[in-house]
Amino acid sequence: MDAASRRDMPLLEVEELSTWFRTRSGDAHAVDGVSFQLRAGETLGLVGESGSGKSVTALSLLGLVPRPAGRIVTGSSVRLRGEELVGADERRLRAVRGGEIAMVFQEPMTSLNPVLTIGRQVEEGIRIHRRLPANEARSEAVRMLERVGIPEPADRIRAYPHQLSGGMRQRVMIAMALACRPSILVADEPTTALDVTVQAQILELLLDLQRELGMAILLITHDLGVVAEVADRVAVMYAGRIVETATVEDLFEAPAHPYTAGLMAAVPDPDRPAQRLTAIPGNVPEPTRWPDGCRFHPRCPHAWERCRGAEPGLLETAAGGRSRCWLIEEPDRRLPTAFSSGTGGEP
Amino acid sequence: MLRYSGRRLLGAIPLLLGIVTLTFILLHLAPGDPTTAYFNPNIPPDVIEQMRRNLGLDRPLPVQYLDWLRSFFTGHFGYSFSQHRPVAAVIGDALPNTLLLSGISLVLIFVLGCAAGVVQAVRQYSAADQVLTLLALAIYSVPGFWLGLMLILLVSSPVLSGWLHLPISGMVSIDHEYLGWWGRVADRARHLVLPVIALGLASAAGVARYMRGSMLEVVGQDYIRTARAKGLPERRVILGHALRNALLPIVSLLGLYLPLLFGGTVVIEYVFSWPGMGRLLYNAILARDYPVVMAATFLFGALVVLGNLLADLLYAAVDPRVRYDGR
Repeated sequence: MDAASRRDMPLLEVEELSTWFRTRSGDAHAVDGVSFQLRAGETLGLVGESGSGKSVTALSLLGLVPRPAGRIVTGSSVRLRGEELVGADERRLRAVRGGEIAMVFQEPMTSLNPVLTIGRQVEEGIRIHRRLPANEARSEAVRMLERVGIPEPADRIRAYPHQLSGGMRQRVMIAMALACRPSILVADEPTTALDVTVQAQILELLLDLQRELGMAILLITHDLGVVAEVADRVAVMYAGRIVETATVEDLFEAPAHPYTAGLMAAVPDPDRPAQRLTAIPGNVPEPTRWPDGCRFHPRCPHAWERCRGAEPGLLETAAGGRSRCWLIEEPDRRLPTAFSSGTGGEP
Repeated sequence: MLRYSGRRLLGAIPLLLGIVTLTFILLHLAPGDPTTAYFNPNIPPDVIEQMRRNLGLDRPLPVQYLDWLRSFFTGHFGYSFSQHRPVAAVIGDALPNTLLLSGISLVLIFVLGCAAGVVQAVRQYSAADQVLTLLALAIYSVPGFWLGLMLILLVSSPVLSGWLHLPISGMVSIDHEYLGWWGRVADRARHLVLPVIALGLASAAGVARYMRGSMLEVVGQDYIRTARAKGLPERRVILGHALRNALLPIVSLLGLYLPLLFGGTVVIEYVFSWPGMGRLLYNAILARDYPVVMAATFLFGALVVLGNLLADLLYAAVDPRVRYDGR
């Protein structure tokens, strides 16, 4: 296949992914029919509030949903270069994990093993996936730590996580994830637990490494500012579903879904400091009892009978994105004043 | 670490002094004295009085106490009233036997307990988990001496004694001296089986409960998810990443179980006629053999102090976040 068509073929195709958890009050449909694609080298931002199903989606890709409470529902499909991963045997999944799809987690504090040296933790993956002997794995680990900006890496490999700062730990996590040159990096809130100045450094580092290694990034975050900086495309999740997909420019230019608009209105705007912050009223509903009809309708300022009665599909917007909202079919229903800071604000 | 250990040992001196002082007071508060064993209507009271004088028991208590302290600090420990030998020699015979018995029990407690706990945690709510939980609770609720007696009954039963051939008392068989080197080791090992089980099984069950809980907590941690996300085989996730973290709280249990273990030897050694410190202490208390009781109590106390120090040092060895001496 020629270079052009390889670029067009999605690296990762997620179709109708549903991950449910058994709870005392019934099945929680944490992820409920999520579909998206990730192309080689691109950055897809997966955005939503806590409880919208972002992290569970990420864990589902790698088959890491905590069992036995959680399960990926039959009919879900996750294809890596056309190969089905849902239901693949554990051996194959282990080769994918860390080898082809690597993950960086939110809390660098708790995501590193406190009793093992960082050298050992970085080497481990290299030895498993690239089958290098111990001394080569070690020098590869040192190189990787140097690449992510850890000073004196040859000495630091003997350090324990508690001897490093939060930013340094997240660098170690990134070194660990990228040591085996994965084609996809899933970054679950990689900067949320860090200081703002460190956040920017880590994002910068991720983008640098992406250019260098050509990997695709699935960036999970609740922070629209982060998305605006690094993502090419955005998928917005709400209540276990994707409610809007768009390029990052289109999304910030004109969010099609009221939920997206609400998220943006909730971000403080430095250009208009006098303005009051707007919050979306209410909370994300319980995943055991999603509302009937459009799942956002109880919190949506525009909602009318149709929204209560039936859930829209992902309808194509004028800009070429998709929005799970009846307003696409009936734009006259859009109230001009909803989420008062407007919908066109630059991030 | 050396400075820390030195500080801890210095700090233990008043503690041990307190232990022997309390033991001394309790011993003399208890009715009877070493001559009580010789009580016999045919022995005239003045003979008993003479015996008492010979043992120095006619002197005022503070004098006796200071006298014992002096003999203690000269490393002499006095003479056993009942065995008519230096206390150091009496203890020298018994101490290695007790260290052997409790050392092996300790290994059994932690190896068996941890293994069971890990299996239970990895297969939580499985049949194996449920059975082991039930078993652990049952064993934990059974007193050691009763378990010992039941074990003796069991292996001596007509059904089992035919093929088990497990000795039920003592440390060696009658023909021990005639066995080869390996034969002697095997002979000792067979004599250890029942006392070790009776002494250690309940504690092993306790450790298993702790280990199960500790492991379950660790397996839910973020770094275990990280290890899985790296593509490590589950075996390496559990043994390489989870186990060492789960062991941390267990290491500090070591210090708690030592006194329990030494206390257990008093009863278990008696049940199995094991010639160790526990049985020595038991017999010495019955005979009001003051110097032996004092020395044995001191030794048990010192062993517990040492064991606790060792547990704390071990803790620092497995947890890199813990460092002594402000390093």
